Amino acid sequence: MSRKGFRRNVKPLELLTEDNIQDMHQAVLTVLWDTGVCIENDWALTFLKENGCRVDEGNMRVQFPAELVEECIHQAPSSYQVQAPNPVNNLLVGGETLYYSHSSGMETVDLNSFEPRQPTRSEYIDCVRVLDALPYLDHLGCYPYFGYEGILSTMAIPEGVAIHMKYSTKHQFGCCSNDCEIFTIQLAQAVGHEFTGTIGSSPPLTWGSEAVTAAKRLVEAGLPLSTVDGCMMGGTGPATIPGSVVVSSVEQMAMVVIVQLLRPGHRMMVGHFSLPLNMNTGSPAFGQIGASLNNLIFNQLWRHYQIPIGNGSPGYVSAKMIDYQAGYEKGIAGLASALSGVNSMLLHFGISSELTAHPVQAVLDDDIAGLIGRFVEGEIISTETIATELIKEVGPIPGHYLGKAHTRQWWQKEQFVPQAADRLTYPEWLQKDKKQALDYAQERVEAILSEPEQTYLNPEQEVALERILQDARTYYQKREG
Amino acid sequence: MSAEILNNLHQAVIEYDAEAAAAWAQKAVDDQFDPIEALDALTEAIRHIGDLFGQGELWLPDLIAAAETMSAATTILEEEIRRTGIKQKSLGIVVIGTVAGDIHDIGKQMVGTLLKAAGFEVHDLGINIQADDFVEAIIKYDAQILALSALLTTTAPQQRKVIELLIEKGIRDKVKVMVGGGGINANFADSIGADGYDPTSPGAVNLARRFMGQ
Repeated sequence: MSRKGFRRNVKPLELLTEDNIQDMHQAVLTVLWDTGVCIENDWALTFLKENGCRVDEGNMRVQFPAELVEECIHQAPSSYQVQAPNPVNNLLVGGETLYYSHSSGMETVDLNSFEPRQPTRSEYIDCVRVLDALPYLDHLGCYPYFGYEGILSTMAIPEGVAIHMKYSTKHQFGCCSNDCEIFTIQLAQAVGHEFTGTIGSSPPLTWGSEAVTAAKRLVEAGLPLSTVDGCMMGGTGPATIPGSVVVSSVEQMAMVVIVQLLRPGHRMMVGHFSLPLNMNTGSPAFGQIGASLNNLIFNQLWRHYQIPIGNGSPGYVSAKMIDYQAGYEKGIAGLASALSGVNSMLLHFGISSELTAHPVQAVLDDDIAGLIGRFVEGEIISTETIATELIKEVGPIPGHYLGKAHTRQWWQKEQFVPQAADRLTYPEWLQKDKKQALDYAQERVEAILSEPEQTYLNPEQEVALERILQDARTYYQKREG
Repeated sequence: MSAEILNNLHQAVIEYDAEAAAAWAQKAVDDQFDPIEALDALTEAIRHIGDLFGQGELWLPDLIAAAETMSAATTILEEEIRRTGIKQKSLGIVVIGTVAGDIHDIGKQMVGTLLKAAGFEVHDLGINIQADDFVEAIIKYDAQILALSALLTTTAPQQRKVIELLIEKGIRDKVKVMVGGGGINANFADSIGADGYDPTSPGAVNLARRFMGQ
């Protein structure tokens, strides 16, 4: 049993020829051997040396032989299942399945002024409840907010993971930072949940010690892993898309080798999050078409490797408000990723880069997710859908198809009906307060939150979580002096 | 037996089963069951469908399929009512149709269905109806409401023509005229001397109710 998500029935969009793929692959292998990757972790340096890599301990530089890389690519599963608290929300990651998740925001935003502020714990919980209720949001992502009022910043992840466990039955991804996986793994074990641990490289061509340690802990705990690259084109990667995809892929491949050597067949997804650099400001240029092209190339290359793929950039935009720009940036980026074979993408929730996010935006994004999902599901061509007999039966005017059983059976499968879009006729719209999509989305959030608050843990589990969280608070208080 | 007939008529509409609806209507006639009571069961079912449509739970194909199912039964029952001369209760008598030159049917069907669901006696003349035919039907059915549909801006002026003919024939005061359709707005309705306009089918039902003092 697993969530359906959307099934891609259209041939993935391919920009690369077979020769292009071979060129890119050779470039990845060449950089892995000639340039190598900096692995800032003593355990990993020893481990990789023992397994056939050439290691320069002084510079923490590791060169990966091509045969070893090829072998590890084949060890990684092309698809795998992950468990959710409610089995109907289990995920079957890989193949032609498309899932959606949410991006994150440091803070929430005031919907009148669009100025950011830290959310309260109650707003954080409300946010998780909304994300849990959205039909096309298949799993929860990291955070969603980077904490809330009144907690240590280092506690943001453990507290957030615990809130997810309490208020959602969807599978969650959990970031790893500041050793927090020590506690999030314990939280998962205490309630019998799985989560996907997320670690990030440090471009260009570097894995920090913390990320490597987190990967080792997660693999040893048997938890699936999502490895996220993130080079900025022209900054921490070449300005060219193929070049930056090579840098990202080299980073990813280094971690594929570590993980698959550590535990062959371990479940892992490569999460791609590369963006152009804004050459005016030096900040990442979220929402640009270059990011979509980058995903296209990366996705095609990694489909070749048959390792499940995630894309992060569709969930982040340069828009500062819930507006037209936010819509087109997410829509175009989401469609490009979906068409090019992504298995899971962040789409919902984020408003302004990683700075702000809001549940109302997530509701609007859920419509984009549904629209894109419907698109990639493609069309069934059959006697029934071609409908020659029906066309004959209805004939010309005054015949019509509205009253036909065929229409009732098929129209909803063929269309996607957005939940928060204005779909009134123009006269109705004039008569009914001239509502916009934003108004409908706000109403939907209110409707979700007006439902009785549901929690999914029993009292013993809650006590166990609180004990672990208390240990974490003590640990970080001590560490921060 | 009577409960069985009523339940099955109701269920046939809910399940969009026109064959069953016709069969149970015929059974009602054969068993000399009160055709008005049978019609009420159908009206109750279509009202239920109409309510769900209004709440966004059901969609246009459901509404139209239910209306067509109901129609399969009402044809039989209304014939029986005419034969026996029983007086039918209703909120009011409506003649509805799409004006000459316009062959759009769906909006008119939606309004007609919801009017039936609300308890009106509805005579749907169909599409591409000449002004003369509207006048004739008003007299024939002793209608209190005339509902004119026009989707196209090019055919909307036909609604004016119908109203002018009502005046010419001296029966303008006898009927309330409501107009609707994609090519119509409130200003146009005023300009041609209609009594009312609403952009939505549920709104048209409310308008008809107001016409009847409800």
